[in-house]
Amino acid sequence: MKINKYIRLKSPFAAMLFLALFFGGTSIVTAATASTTINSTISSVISVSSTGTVTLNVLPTGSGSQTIGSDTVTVNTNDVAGYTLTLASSTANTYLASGSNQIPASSGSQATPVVQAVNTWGYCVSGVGGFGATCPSVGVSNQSISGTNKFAGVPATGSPNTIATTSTTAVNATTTVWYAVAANTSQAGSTTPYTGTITYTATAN
Amino acid sequence: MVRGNYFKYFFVLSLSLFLVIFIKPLHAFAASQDLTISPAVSQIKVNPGQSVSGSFLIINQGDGTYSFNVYATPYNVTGQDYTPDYKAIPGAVDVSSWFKFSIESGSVAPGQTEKVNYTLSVPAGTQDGGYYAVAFGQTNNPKALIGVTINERVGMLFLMQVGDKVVKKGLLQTWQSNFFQSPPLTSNIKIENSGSIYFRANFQYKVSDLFGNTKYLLNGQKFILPQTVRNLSLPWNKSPSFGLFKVSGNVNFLGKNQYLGTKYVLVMSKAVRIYTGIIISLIIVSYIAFSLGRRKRKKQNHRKKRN
Repeated sequence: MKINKYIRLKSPFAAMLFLALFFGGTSIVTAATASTTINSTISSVISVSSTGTVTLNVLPTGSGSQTIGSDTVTVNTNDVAGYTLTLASSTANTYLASGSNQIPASSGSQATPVVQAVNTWGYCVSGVGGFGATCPSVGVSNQSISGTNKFAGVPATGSPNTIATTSTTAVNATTTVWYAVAANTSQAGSTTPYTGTITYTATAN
Repeated sequence: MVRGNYFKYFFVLSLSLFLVIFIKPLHAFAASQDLTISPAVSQIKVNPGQSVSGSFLIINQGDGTYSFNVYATPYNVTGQDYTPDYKAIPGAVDVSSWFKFSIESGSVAPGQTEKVNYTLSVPAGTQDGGYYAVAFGQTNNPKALIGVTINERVGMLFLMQVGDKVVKKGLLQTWQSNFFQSPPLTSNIKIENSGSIYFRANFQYKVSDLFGNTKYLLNGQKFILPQTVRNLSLPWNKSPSFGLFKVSGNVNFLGKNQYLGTKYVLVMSKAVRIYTGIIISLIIVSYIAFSLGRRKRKKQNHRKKRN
């Protein structure tokens, strides 16, 4: 039979072709590999920022005039224990001074803030200590002294008050600090403004 | 003529609106000061009489140049809430005197970094134990002409072990979560360190609903200074005004893991309490009225029967 002969003739040849293709057309190689270790150290950081100056100009009246302004403090840290932010005067003095004239700090404390008395200055941080919801929500200029907003005296350096603390990392965590000055006409005016310096301190927990 | 006037008025009005909307008024504002220090914490072991060196970075990520000072202070805490105290304790070692810095003042432009090298030298004869300090970078703003000048400072915390003879000892003092609370739902963990060296405590705190769904999960870590009790206040700031929840967790320190048993907390805000009180009062009043009315009807029926 022609077909069978054809097949018989082709079979060995096909087998040889198959073997040649399979073993001749390919080469067996041993793969060589190498590995690289990637190392990355993420440094721990902590940062703090604020505006730098809070201006609280007052036009005193007989009964007393109050100006309120705010500062926003922003803290960032990737320390897993979080941070503590404190506030204190930069010196042992807690008053605003213009030469020999002074505006003393409010008699209230962070635990027990008080309605601002005339001729004093103070601060308020909503939700912290005894402030609760007594802090202002907007700044005002030369208004009559608020009977609802409460303020505390800024503590001297070395005895800072904690105004924010977290238990984990912080990304742009903001704390708004309200400052107020109240003065009547018995507070000496001067050509040199009353000034004081406050320090915010942020440290990891 | 009239049409011309209208055009004039329209033109003036449009120009005014354009000026108001598109020409921004000038605002006087202070450039933001962004003071960063890295790393934030350093844990060092050093022997008495030895020195160790290192460095940290002062980074200006703000948009204005500022001058800064570098100095060290002791680090202590007051109270269980760990209010920082940077004053030297009378009679105690003034750790800040151990530090020497390559830069004590300078200025840094926006986007720039200043590297500060330090050498920490522990005096010979210093007692073995834990010592704590902070290296501060502080902005040094020119005194403001008006009002309150703000300085910022950030501290790099140094947790130091001097020598090898230290005692590590502590315990979980309390795990507390009041059943009845106003939002935010808050729990407290108190950890006591009765040893002579600090240790770190890792904690996990979980708030879930009655079906076991996790509503809030916090993983944290705190260091506990020797001879102190630290209160970890754990508020769930996004807790709803009403709800019944389960709180639990665990604390891990000194190689031991301690489970914080599940507690139930009923959260009710002031408003919810008032409304609930009103509803309950109405129910009680209604029930009393209904009961009285029923008793009256019974009496009337009884009289009718007798008659």
